[in-house]
Amino acid sequence: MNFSIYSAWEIAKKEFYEYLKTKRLIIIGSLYIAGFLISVGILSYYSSHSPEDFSSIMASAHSTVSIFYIILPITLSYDLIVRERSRKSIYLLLSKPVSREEVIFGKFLGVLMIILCIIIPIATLGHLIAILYCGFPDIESIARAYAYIGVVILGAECYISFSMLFSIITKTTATSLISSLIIGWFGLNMFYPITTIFNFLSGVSSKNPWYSKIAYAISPSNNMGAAQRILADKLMGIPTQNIYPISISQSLISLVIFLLATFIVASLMFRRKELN
Amino acid sequence: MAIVEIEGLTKKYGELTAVNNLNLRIEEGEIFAFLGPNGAGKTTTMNILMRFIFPDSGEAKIFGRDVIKDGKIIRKKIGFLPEELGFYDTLTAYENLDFYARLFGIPKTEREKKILDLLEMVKLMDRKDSRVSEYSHGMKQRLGIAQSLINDPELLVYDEPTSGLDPRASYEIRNLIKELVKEGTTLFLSSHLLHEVQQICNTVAIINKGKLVRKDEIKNLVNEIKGRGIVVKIKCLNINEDIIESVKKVNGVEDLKVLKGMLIARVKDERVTAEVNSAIVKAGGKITKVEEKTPNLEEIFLKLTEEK
Repeated sequence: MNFSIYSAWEIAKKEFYEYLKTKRLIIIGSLYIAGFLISVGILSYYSSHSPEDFSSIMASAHSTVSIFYIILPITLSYDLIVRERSRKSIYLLLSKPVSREEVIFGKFLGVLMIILCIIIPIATLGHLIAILYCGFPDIESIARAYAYIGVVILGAECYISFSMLFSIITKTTATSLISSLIIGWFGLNMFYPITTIFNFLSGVSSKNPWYSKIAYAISPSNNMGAAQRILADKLMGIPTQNIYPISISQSLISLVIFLLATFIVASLMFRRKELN
Repeated sequence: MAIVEIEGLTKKYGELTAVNNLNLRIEEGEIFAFLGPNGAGKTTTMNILMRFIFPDSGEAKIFGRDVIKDGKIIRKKIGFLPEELGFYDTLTAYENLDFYARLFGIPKTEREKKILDLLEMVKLMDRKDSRVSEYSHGMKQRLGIAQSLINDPELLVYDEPTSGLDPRASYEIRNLIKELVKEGTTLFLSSHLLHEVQQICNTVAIINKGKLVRKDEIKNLVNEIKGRGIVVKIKCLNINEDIIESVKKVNGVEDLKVLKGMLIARVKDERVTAEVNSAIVKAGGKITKVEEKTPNLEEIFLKLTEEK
């Protein structure tokens, strides 16, 4: 494959720069930042001011804004390709020496850069606020807090890739947004409850048969719950393995598979897409 | 050397055949017009050449390379201006050009100079830091020309470059293109505007319903037009049989008719028109008005696109 990382990087930088000027990033980004930092501030203020509280403060603060870890990537990537098509800029872009794979990867990278630039500094600032109130926690707590962010970012990548796929398939930005939100967010989450109801009605004795595990693993938001478990394991002092249908490592593998699968499908579809 | 070679190219959309077994060859340095009515298949052909869509059968090559397999390499040497032009509206003209220049891997110092030179050329220097969303259609079209030249292309592919522009903006764009082709760059211009083609190009391919109906040099078409003669209309106060007979006797007069006090005939050239005038006066006629109408490229175009 004739792939140039340089071209993809140039596209990513352009996307990044263009996004900085968009209202939706300013609005959603500000809501996330305000929500997270205010949560950390309030939780820290009302905590027992002990370093032991660090993990619970971070777990609760992240839970408060967890919806943004899904909304942010979807709203930033639902129109990546369809917008290029509707404003006709796709013709100028693809008339340059760039492959369609570079365009896809560049755009993905651009949105990812934006998300990284929001989440990592804000999470770090949140950590500092918590440390300021509660004192310095042990290294393991800090490592788990950053592992949480790592999982959230992996989940966000899944939603970027998934929304990008819809931005290739659909013809309008509105359809792409609605499809990404309904299917990506609600639709994929429905499989596991359906299998649970099915198991209950059919009297399946095993709590989580193989198809229930797959139904759970298919949703990135379920798997992003692994991030919460990384912090919860520390809080509860016991692994949360038996509470969830799949383990943390299985959740992480599921996220990686979901990301790769949606990204490959998006690339293949865009490669043969007719741009009339 | 052939810059563009198209062989047996076919593209269908359901029942509609947009391009039907098209064969075309554009030589280096040619100023080539792709002429046809709306929906003739011009844009479809160009979209295949640019790899925006894929042909059902046939082959298209640019610089001897297959447009599907080697699209990325080919596009390094092409400047493209689409019919429907879209920029990144939140970016300025300079930023848009800078992005495109980066995709060609042009080094920073060279890039800056090139962008400023191009903006100067298309008279957008004073608006270089304005967002493209604030640009008029004509300004966007000029910016479109600038972006097509960012890589010093060997082939320019322009699809309806003056589409939707007011007369003044069209004139400016045509002048810009004329200046460009003077430098020897090969141009593949799609248009449905005959006067535009006549002013800019030296070769024309006429396409209709996806099929090539004629490919020739403009000068040959012009000679053909000349060969078809001139239609002359002479308003005469006292037309009678003597006058008509004397006009008929003039060598080079064909299809003589009398209509509403006017003698209408097809004559070979202007010399024959003068002889017809003399013959009328000698026969006692009183001429009040003489009109000459030379057939133009439009007539040939209409004839070809109607017949086929």
